[in-house]
Parts: sequence; structure tokens; C-alpha cells
Amino acid sequence: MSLLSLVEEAIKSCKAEQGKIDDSIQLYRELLQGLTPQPKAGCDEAQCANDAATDTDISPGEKEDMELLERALAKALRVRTGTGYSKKASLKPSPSQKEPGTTAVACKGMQASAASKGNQSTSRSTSKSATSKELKSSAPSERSTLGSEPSANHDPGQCRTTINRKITQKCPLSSDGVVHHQAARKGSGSVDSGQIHTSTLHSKMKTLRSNTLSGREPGQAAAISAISNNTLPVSQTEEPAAHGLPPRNGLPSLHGRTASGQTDKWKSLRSEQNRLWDKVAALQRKPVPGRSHFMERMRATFPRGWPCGSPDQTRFLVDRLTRQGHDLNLNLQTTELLATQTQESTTELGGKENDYDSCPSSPTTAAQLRNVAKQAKQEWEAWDRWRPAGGCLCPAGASGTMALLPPTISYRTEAELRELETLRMRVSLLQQEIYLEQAILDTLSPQLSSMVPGPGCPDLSVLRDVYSLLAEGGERSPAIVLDSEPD
Amino acid sequence: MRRRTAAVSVEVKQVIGALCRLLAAAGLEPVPPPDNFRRAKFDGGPEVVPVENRKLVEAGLWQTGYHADWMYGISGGRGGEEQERVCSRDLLLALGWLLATGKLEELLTWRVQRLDKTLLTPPPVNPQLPNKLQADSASLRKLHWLIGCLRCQGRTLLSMQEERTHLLHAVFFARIASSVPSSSSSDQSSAVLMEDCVCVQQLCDLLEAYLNWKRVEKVFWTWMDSVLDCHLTDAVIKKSTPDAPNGSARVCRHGNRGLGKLEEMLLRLPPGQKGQRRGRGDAEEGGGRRRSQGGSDTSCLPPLLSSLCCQPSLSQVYRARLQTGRPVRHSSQPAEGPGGGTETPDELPASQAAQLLLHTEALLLERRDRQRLANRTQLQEMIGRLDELVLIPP
Repeated sequence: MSLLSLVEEAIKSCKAEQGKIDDSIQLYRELLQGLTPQPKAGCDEAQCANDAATDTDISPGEKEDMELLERALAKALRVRTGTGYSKKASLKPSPSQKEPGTTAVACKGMQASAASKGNQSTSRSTSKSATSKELKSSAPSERSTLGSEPSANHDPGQCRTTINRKITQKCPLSSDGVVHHQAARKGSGSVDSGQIHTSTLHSKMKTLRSNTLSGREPGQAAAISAISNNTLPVSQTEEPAAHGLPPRNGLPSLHGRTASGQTDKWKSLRSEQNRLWDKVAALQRKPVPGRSHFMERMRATFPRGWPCGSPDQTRFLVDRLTRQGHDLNLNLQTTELLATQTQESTTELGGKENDYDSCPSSPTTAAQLRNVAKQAKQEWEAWDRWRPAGGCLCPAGASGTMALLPPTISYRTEAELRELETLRMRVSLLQQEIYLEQAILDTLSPQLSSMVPGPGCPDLSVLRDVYSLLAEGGERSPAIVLDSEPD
Repeated sequence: MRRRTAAVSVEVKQVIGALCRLLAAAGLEPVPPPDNFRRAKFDGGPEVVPVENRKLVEAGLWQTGYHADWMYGISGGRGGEEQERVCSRDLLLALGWLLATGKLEELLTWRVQRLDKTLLTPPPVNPQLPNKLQADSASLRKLHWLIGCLRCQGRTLLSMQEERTHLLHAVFFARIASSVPSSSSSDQSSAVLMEDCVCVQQLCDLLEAYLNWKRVEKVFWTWMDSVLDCHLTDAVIKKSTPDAPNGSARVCRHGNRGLGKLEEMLLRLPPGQKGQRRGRGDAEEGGGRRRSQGGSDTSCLPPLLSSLCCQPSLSQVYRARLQTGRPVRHSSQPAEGPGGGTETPDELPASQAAQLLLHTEALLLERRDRQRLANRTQLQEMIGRLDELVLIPP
């Protein structure tokens, strides 16, 4: 393998890492687009198209005006009709220009029935979003009808088109997700029931679609409301009560279909995930005595010559020792070299001598390393004797034993997280730099020592390059001039 | 007594059920039903493992340090039919061993990384230094150029990383921020959100299954003890364990490279003398360089050696968590800021991790600079010896 290919490999892996980071960036951007209200500055085609489809002729300024108007109307409505009605009104979620789907479903569902249930669900979601739902939702009802009667033709133009699209596209995914959740909770791997539920949902969606188009009565609305209310406990997993509630008809959720519902669902899932992680981390710290007892008993059944640990551990140990020994060697060489320099000249190096002393370059360390290496070698040979076909003792790719799940690091501000990640990357890049410089030194030192004073001038550019690579990390180059004056 | 036995067996069935659910949630398919496990305890009968799988199974189990008679078979048996048969109880014991050695956690970590896209993955690790590198003077120019290229890539990486962190923080923040739910609802972005919901749902299921399993784990180990008892009582009748198959010249396809490199390194070490103590330096060094988080279990290594060159770099995957700042629960760690810490003892605060990394960085920089200084002096000296050349350092 040549030095060039080593560096080329490093470049390749950098580029691969860049690709991965790029993918992450894409993903996060898309997630954020789905979560946050404002579109990004670079509005992509899909979003613009969607906007065009849902609402063609309202400008942003007018949108704002309408939102303000809606809020004012909602307040007025509440004042006029009292709390009870306002609760019902709050069930009618927003026909905000960007998500008529929410309106369509919820207005059909929640208006018709169980106001209390819907109210519970609303209160469970984050308070602000509930408030905004209230504000926005009451307005359309105010606009269309002041009564609480469901209107299947409510905002038909917007609802219809988007509901169709949303149902057909989003249903399968969310239903699968929720069904899986339910199945897991029931403790059986009954995928069949899940599939049945999915197909039931699909048929229900089709009926809903046709109903929307024909403008049907609250009969359907009631059914849909039952569906949406049933599944609200499923998605609101933050409270234990909700967690334990079985879905009523076993039907998957409609709630996750709509955009705002998705956001809430996502948020609650993430919160749930955090909660579970905390519990897992707490459990990890507790020892499990039965486990080690079993292991000891099993080890007692192994033959006499059986080495301790495992081949994976030995591989890792050998790899580590080799690296450490290599570093130690280099350290020693450098220290010796610099020590001789300090003897010759009293420069600022003298001040750094203490640092050199504190480096573990003592003979004791070398002896310790040797002992451990001897032990490791014996283990390695023992494992090799018992190795079956296919077993591998090659250190490459060996990782230390980590029987724990990923640890959690908590941060408070974005700056903290950024600093942490930057440092991680900087440390890794620095390690790579040191590693490559070592490789270059190892490769070039024979050539250097061969450059003895003798006849013929060595290649100046070679000297320049070598100096630059070894002494300046390739960043700066020296000047080498011919001194033609006789001494 | 019968009732107690029945109660115990019901409990065991539930426990094994929890394990099966966990394995299924971790993506292992197909998982046999719990009854198969229980039957395996008593069913010492033959259950032949297909030949092509058997080698894999044996190699995999050996890799974790497991030994079983059936892995090494009756001597002289080369063909599949002459090998000792594997019964289901043997497989059950092997599974117990794998669970005990932490394979389950490894599997979970692997699965978690696939499900949760917001985990922070480590930067790539350097491969081991290959032995014989060649370079000639003609390629030095190209090498110089490549090194520059690499540096540029590194800078790009850093800036991309910053962008990613910024977005990741925004994602975490979006979880707790109560935003107005009038999202853009473009189909494309909602699809991504949906997909993430599905993944996070699966992750929650996985974590829950793991929690359920951990709660009842000790019952499982008690039961495995009983399985082992059954096995041992039967094993007395069997032949005694054969000794190591000596003298086999089978060599791993990588050869003895690892060991060879170790020996080479040892040759280059200075001849050390036992009993010499340097004193203060070593102890300080050992204390100053802490292990990386979740570091490996190298029980044979003395602390000094294990910390030597094993600076903490957090070179593992971890999950970041945004602290909301509300004092929800008491923390055993002292509050770090005026707002008070809400970190649990199981979490590492980012500031602490950053301190570790800064320390590591400082050490690495020092090491690099020292090396460069040594190189510089060496080269200056060497060029000085050459007549008619004057080196003017940059």
C-alpha cells in the first residue's frame, strides 16, 4: 500500500462522511418543514404547488388579516355564548389556508358528537396549539353557521380536494404505524388483525370521501368522530392513563392524517421516547446478579485450557496494545531528539522540559506494555488453538466491549451542542492528521537518513516538500537557497 | 406445590414472552414462540442444524468465548453427519450465553441507530497503520497536494457539521416549542414526518419491550439455571470434554497479521527494566486522561496503559437531549447554571463532555506540535550538514 493511497482513502472517507451529513441535513430540513408554520426561504416546488392548489388568490398580507379577524371573531363568539359553547367551538379546528384537511375531518367528526372527548384531546395537546386551534377553528364555524350543527358542506372547496389527497396518501402510513403500536401493546405478533384494520380503514376512508363529495349527514360524521376520538388516546402517549387505554373499535387513527395532528403526534412520540430513554438509562445502571451467576456456571462447564474473556476482547486488546506501543515508541524518539536539542541550545525548549518528563516515556511503561502484550499473545494463541473454521482473530475492526445502549448527553443551548459536535470533529480530524504525519515520517525517514552529505546536490524540491510535510503539516513551505559563497 | 409450580411456569412463560417480543421489536425475524423455548429445556432430542448454518453458528459462538461439546464434535468427524448433533437445549444454553454477554444490548444499539435519525454518530476512525508504505520522491508533490485536499475536506466537514447541528437543535426545539399548527403541509415534508413518526413509534415499542424485559430478567436467569441443571445431569452420561484440537494448521484468512504487528511493535520498544519508577509523572498522566465514555473493558490493562493514548473523544454514538430548564426533578449533580440542572445522574452534561474534549484536543495539539518541532530540528540539522544549502524556514 502506498502513502498516496492512504491519503486518498482518508479523503474518500471524508467525502463519505460529508454525504452522510448532507443526508442528515436534508432530513432535518424536511422534518422542520413539516413541523414549523413558515415555509423556508427557498420555497420548493412541492410546497408552492400545494399552496397554489389549496389557496390561490390570497396574498400573505391578506392571510394575516384574516387570521387576526378570525381571532377577534373567536373572542367575540366566546364572550357571547359562554364557556360551554366555546368548548364546542374549539372542536372545530382551523381552516387555516394551509391545512383544510384538518378542518374537513375534524369539523365532520368532532362537531357531531362527544364534545367532551374532543375537548379532552384538545387539552392534552400543547396548550398553545390548542389555543390557536380554538381561535382559528371557531372562525369558520362563525363564518358559515353560528349553530353547532355539522355541515358536511363546510368549506367544501378546500376541504374536498385536500381531504381526498390526504386520505389516500397519508392513511396507509399512519394506520400502519398505529396498528403496529397497538399490536405490540397487545403483546401478540398478530399482524393479521393489523392488516384487517388497515383495510377497514381504507374502506372507511373511501366512504368518507364519497360522503364528502355528496355532502352527507352527521351519520357518517358520527362514525368518523368515533374513529378520531378512539385513536386520540393512542397518539397522546404522555399520560399513563392514555397509555393504557385500548382503542375503542380497534380502528387505527385518523388523527395522524392531518398535518397539525401529525405534528402533535410527532411531538408526543418524541416526548414518550425521551421518557422511555430515561427509564432505560436508570435500569442500565442496576446490576443483574442472575446474569453473571449464569455466566460463571457456564464457564465452569468449559474445558480446562479455555482462555478467559473472548476472542473479540483479545482482538481488541492486541489492536490497542499495538497502537499504544507504536505511539509510545514515537513519543520516546521525539523526547530523545528534543532532549538532545535542549542540551545543545538553551532556547524556549528548556521551559517545556517538564512536559516531556510528565509524558509516560519511562522504561516502566515499556516494561508494563511488554508484560501485558505477552499475556495478550498467550491468550491469542490459546484462542487460535480452539478456533473453528470461520472464526477470526484479526484485530482490524475490533471494537471494545460495550454492553450498553447509547448514552445521553444533555445540553441547554444550541451553542453548547454546536461546541460539542465541533470539538468531536476537530479531535477526530486532529487524530487523523497526527496519524498521517506519523505515516509520512515512517515512510520518509529512510530516505532522509540516506541524504548524507556527499557528492551531488539533492533535489531541492524534494527537500522543500519533505520539510513542509514533516515540519509544517504541509501548510507552509520553506525556502532553500544555494549558498555559493565559500565559507 | 403443584400450584406453585404452575404459577412459576406461567411466570416463566410471560418472561419468555417478554423476551420474544423484545427480539421481534429489535428486528430479529422470525422469533419462535415462547413454548418452543420451554420445550427446549426438556427436549434433549436431536434437532439438526443445517450444515451451512452450523459453521456460522459455531464461529459466531466461539467469537463470544463460548464453548460447547457439539461445537467441537467427536474427533475425526468431518462430514456433517458425523458431527455431534445439536439439540434444542444446547441452542437454548447458547442463547442464554449470548444474552448474558450483552449481545442483546449490541443488537438494540444497532437497531436504535437505524430507527432514530437524530442520534449523533461518531466521526470515522482511523484504520490501523499498515506496515510497509512506499513513497518515492516523484509522488511527494502529489502527496503534498493530497494533504492540502484533505485539509480542505476537513474544513468542509466542520462547516457542514455546524449546519447539521443547527438543524438538529431546531428539530429538538420544535418538539417542545408549542408552535402554531398551520404547517406548510406540503406532501413531501409531511411524508417525511410520517415516516419519522413510524420510526419513533417503533423505537418507543422497542424501548418499552426492553424495559419490560429488564424488569423480569432475573426470573429468566433463574430459569436458565434450571436449564443448565438439566443439561448437566444429562451430560454426565456423555463423553468427557475433548481437549483442544491441537496442531491444526488452520489459519484465519487474515493470517497472523495482528500478532505479527504486535511483535514488531514490541521489538521496537526500548528494553525496559522492571522496578524503575519515575514517580509523579505517571500518576498525573493517568489521572489527567480519562477514559472515553462507555469505554472498553480491558481488565488486564493497568490503568496507566489503558489511559495512554486512549483520550476521551466520545467516539461512539450518543443521543443528545435538550434540557428544558424547568426543574422537574432533583439531580444528584450540582447545578451548573443559574437555572439549575435538570440532568439526571445517567446523563452527561454537554459542558462536561466539552471540557473533556477540549482537554483531549489540547493534548493532541501538543503532541502534534512536539512531533513537528522534532522533525523541524532534525531536518534543519540535516540540511545544515549539506554543503551549499541554506534553509530558511517559513
